[in-house]
Amino acid sequence: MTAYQVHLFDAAAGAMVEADLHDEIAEKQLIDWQFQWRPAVQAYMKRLVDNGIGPADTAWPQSWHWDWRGKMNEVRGLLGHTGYSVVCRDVTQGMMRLDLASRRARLDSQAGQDLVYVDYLEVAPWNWREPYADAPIYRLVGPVLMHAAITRSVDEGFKGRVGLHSLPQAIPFYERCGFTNLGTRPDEYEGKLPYFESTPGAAEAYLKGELK
Amino acid sequence: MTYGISAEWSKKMLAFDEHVTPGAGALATRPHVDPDAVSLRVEETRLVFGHFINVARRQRRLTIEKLADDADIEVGELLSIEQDPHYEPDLRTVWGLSNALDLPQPKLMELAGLAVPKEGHWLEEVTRYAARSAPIKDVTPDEQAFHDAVVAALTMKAT
Repeated sequence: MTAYQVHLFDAAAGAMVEADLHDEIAEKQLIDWQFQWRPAVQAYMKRLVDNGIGPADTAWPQSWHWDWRGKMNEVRGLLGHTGYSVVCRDVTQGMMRLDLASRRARLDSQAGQDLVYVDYLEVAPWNWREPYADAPIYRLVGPVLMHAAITRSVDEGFKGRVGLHSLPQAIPFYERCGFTNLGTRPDEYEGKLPYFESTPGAAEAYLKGELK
Repeated sequence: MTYGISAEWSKKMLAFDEHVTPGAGALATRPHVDPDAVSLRVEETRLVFGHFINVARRQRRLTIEKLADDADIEVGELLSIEQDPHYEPDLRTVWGLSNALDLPQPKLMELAGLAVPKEGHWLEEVTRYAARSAPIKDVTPDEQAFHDAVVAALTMKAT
């Protein structure tokens, strides 16, 4: 495992703080997911229910986020794949799994070419911005992971081409990353997750920190 | 290429991470609550509350003065409830109205936007009724239906 130095923003301190980007998802991440992320998500869900927000008001099929046993098995499956994780103060703050082989680009300008596909990217629940959630503890976890995905694409010779299916509430994030929104397809994620793709130009701008 | 990230890049990116949390793939799904829907809800139900109090009063052939007197509240407060959807009634007022109109207090609190609904979508249903009933001088059959629907929802036991 290699660790790279990155920086997050510690909201309480109002200052940048050093963190590590690991080029793997290891047992430690799964333990953090199970014993720290999961209870925090459950506490958040309880807060939603206390505020009169039930599953019917949330945009997800129940099985996707209430079935912890199934989700735990899927998270265990992250081990051994190409992945990255962000660790700050010894706690996992975000993780991402990449598929380097099986997906091809869809944008007309680069259709059929190799790309890095982000098949999973998640930020620790205490860093979420959601209605009823407390303010995030650390910011920049997501941008750091996207930086890693694009850098990996360049390293693989894919020129920064990255594809992913965004959560609905995350759409503005990928748009500002300079990714192109190709919309949803009924045969993918029940038509709920739009597909986004970056071009080499958009990737280069992102690595330079140029915002859209 | 290096995977390390400079503090300068991170500072530029701070503006970026301002409003939403990234996430990709079905495994990352989290509950998604529309923030607009959340903030609308109280105003919507309060609008229905004011309309309902107006209809309930007229259905009982009470003047504003008489109902205010029965509920032991100020006339101006009752006027504000009936006519100003942004007016936030206080708990004592709603309690007084629930006594005067003989309606269950907890659910009237929910309709007034003072308590979080515990179950069901009865508020949405009565909001739809409110949208269909037009406030005119006498209680129309539609208003009567709205009134009866709210009373039915208010008096229904939780399942």
